[in-house]
Amino acid sequence: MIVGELKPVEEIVAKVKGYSRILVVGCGGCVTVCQTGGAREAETMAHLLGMALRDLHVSLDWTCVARQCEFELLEELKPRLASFDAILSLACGVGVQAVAEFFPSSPVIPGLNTTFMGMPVRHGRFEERCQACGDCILDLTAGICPVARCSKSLLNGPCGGSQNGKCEISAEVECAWHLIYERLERLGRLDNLERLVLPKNWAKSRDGGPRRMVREGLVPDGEE
Amino acid sequence: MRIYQDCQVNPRVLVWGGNERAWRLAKVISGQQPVIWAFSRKPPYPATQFSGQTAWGKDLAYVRGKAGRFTVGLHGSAIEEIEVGGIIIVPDPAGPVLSGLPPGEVAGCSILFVLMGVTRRVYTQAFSQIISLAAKNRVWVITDDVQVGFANGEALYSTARARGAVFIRTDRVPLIGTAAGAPDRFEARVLDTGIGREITLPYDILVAPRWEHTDDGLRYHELLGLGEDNLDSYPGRTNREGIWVFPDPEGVLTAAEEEVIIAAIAAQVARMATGRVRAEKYYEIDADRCAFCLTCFRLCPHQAVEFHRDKLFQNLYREACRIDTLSCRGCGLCYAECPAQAIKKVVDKPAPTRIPHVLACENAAAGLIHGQGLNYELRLFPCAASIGENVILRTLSESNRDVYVVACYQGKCQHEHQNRRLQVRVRRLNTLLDRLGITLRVKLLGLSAAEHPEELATKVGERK
Ligand code: SF4
Ligand code: SF4
Ligand code: SF4
Ligand code: SF4
Repeated sequence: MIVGELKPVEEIVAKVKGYSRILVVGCGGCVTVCQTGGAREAETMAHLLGMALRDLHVSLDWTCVARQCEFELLEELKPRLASFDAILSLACGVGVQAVAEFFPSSPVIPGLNTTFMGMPVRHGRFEERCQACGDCILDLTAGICPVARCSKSLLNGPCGGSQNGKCEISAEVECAWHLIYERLERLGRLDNLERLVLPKNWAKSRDGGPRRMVREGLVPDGEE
Repeated sequence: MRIYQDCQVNPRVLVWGGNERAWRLAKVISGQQPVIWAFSRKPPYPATQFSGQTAWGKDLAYVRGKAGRFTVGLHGSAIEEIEVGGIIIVPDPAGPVLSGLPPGEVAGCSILFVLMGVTRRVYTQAFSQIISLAAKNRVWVITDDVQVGFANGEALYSTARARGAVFIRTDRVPLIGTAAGAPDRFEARVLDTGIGREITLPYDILVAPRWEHTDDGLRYHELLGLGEDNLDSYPGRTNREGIWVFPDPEGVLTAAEEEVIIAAIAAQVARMATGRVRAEKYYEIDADRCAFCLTCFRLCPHQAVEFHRDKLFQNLYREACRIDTLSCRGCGLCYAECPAQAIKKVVDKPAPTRIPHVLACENAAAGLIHGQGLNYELRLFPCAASIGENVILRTLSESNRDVYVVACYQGKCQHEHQNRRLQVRVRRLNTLLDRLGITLRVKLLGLSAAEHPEELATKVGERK
C-alpha cells in the first residue's frame, strides 16, 4: 500500500489561506488504512482548520470517496464543487493529481506527504518495503529488498557499515543485507551471495522518465 | 432503548483442569448442560460422580472462534478438535503445599510444623494434620501468623490447642539443623516472641510448606490470548468473552469462597444451556464502507471482531470486518478508531440539548450520571475508548471552550487500559491545537465511580 503522512498542520494552514470555502476530501483506499487520510481524518482536519481559521470566516466541510485515484469515483464530488473554492485532498499524490485532472478549474491542495510503499508492521507503525524499481530481484535476495531497505540500495552487500545487524546511518535502521544473510542462511541458500548481481537497468525505474504500464489483452486492436 | 440479538450457541462447555475444583465445577455444570471435562493427565478424582464426557492425556493446542462457538484443538497422538460454546480453565493454584507429612500412622514422635508466610489454603491443610497427629504425638507449630479466617478456622485452632499442639509465634524464620554433638538428632532454634527469648525444639519429623508451581496457568493465558492482568479477575466474569479462568492463582480461597465462584461460573454458562442466547448489540460495521484496514480487528480488547466474506458487499474486497454480538462488550474502541467511519452505534443517544463540554466514560462517572443542576452538560460514553479524536474536536469546535474528557483511573478500566489510549489522543490533539495557535485545550481527568458531582465540579473549576 501507499503510505502518506500528514503534512505539518502549519503548512496546511498556510496553503489554504486565501480560500474561503474549503472541501476536505478523504480517500477510502491506502491512506484510510494508514490512518492519515480517510473519512475520520477528513473530519478531524475540517474541525482543526475551522478552529484555526475561525477569525477569517472560512467555511469548511468534509467528505470521503472510495478511492481518489479513479475518475469514476470522483464523479460524486461534482455537484458539490460549486459551493467550494478549493479542495484539500487527503489522498496520496496520485489521488491529488486525479482530482486535479478531473476538475480542471478547481484548486487542489495536498494535505499529505506521500512517503513510501510499505506496510503496517504493527498497528500504527509503517515501514517501507518497495521502491518500484521496475525490475524485481527479490528471488536473489531472499525476499528482502535491497533497493528499498538498504540505505545505499546496494545490490551486492553488505557494506562495511553493517554493525550488529544495524545500518551505519542509524541504530534504528536495520541492515537489509544482514537480514538477507540471515534469511539465506535459514533457507540454506548462502551460495546466492557468491553470485554477483549485475547492475540493474535503471531505465525501468524512475531514471527512464515517467512510466506507464499497458496490460496486454485488455484493449481491442484499433481502440486506444 | 436497547437492541438485542438472538445468537445461536453451542451449549456444551469445556472444563479444563485436573484439580478438585475442576471436578466440582464439572459436576455442577453437568447437572445443567453438556460438559467435557478434560486435562493433560488423568486426575485422581472419581469420574463416577460426574456424568459428562471426559478426555484425559491431551494438551490444549489452540482455541479458535468466539464465545458460543469455539473450536478447541487438543493435542494427543494427533490433534483432535472439539466444538464448545464456553471454556473454563481451572489452573492449579500455584502456592505452597505441605511436604514431609509422614505416611500412615505415626505415634510417639515430636513433630514440628513450620508455617511461615503461607496462605489460608495451607493452613486448612495443616490444621487437619495437626489435629490428627496431636492425638498420639507431640506437635509444635512455628508460625508468623495463626490464620483462622476460613470456614471453621477458629474451631480447628481451638481443637488443635486442646489436643496439646503448641503454637509458637515468631517473625523470624527458625534455624533448623542437627543438634550439637548428636548428628542423628534434629532441632530447631527459634525466637519465641511470646516469651522474648530463643528456645530449642528437638524434633523427629519436620513438616514445612514447599512452594510448588503445579500447573502452568500462565501458559494457558498466552495460548488463549488473555492478558496477564486478567489472571485474577473476579468470580464469574470472563477474561475474554466465553473463556473463564478460575481466579485465585495463589490458592488463598476458602472452601466456601470456592463454592461461590463455582456457582457464579456455572450460572454464567447456564445461559447457553438452551442453545440460544440474547445478547445486546452495541455497534455494527457497515460493510460497504469498511476499508478492511483491520484496525478494529487488531484493537478490540475482547477479540469480538472477525472477518466476514459476502459477495454482495460493495467494497473492494467483498470481505469486511464484522462484530460478533455475543463477544462485543460495547466499549466503542472500534467505533472511535475506525478510519473509514464505517462503524455505527446501533442505538444512538439523542443529541444533547446543550453543547457538552465534559465527555466522560460512564464507568468513571457513574456518580455523576444524575448531574442535573450542575453548570455543565455531560455527555457519557461507554468507555474512554469511544471518546475519539473526532468527537473531541467536534465538541471543542462547537462549544468553543475547553473540553474535559473523563476516564477511569489507571488500572480501573474494564476494557484494558483505554484511559491510556485516551491520554495519547488528548496529547496529540493539544499539540496540534497549540501549533495552530488555537487557545482551546482538551483536559483529561481521572475519576472513579465513587466520586461525587462536586468533585468533578471542583476539577472542572465550576463549583455550584
Ligand atoms: S488515491 Fe492514493 S491513497 Fe487513495 S486509493 Fe489511490 S493510491 Fe491509494
Ligand atoms: S527489487 Fe525493485 S520491485 Fe522488487 S521490491 Fe525492491 S524496489 Fe520493489
Ligand atoms: S476499522 Fe473500520 S475500516 Fe477498518 S476494518 Fe474495521 S470497520 Fe473496516
Ligand atoms: S465495541 Fe469494543 S468490544 Fe465491541 S467490537 Fe468494538 S472494540 Fe470490540
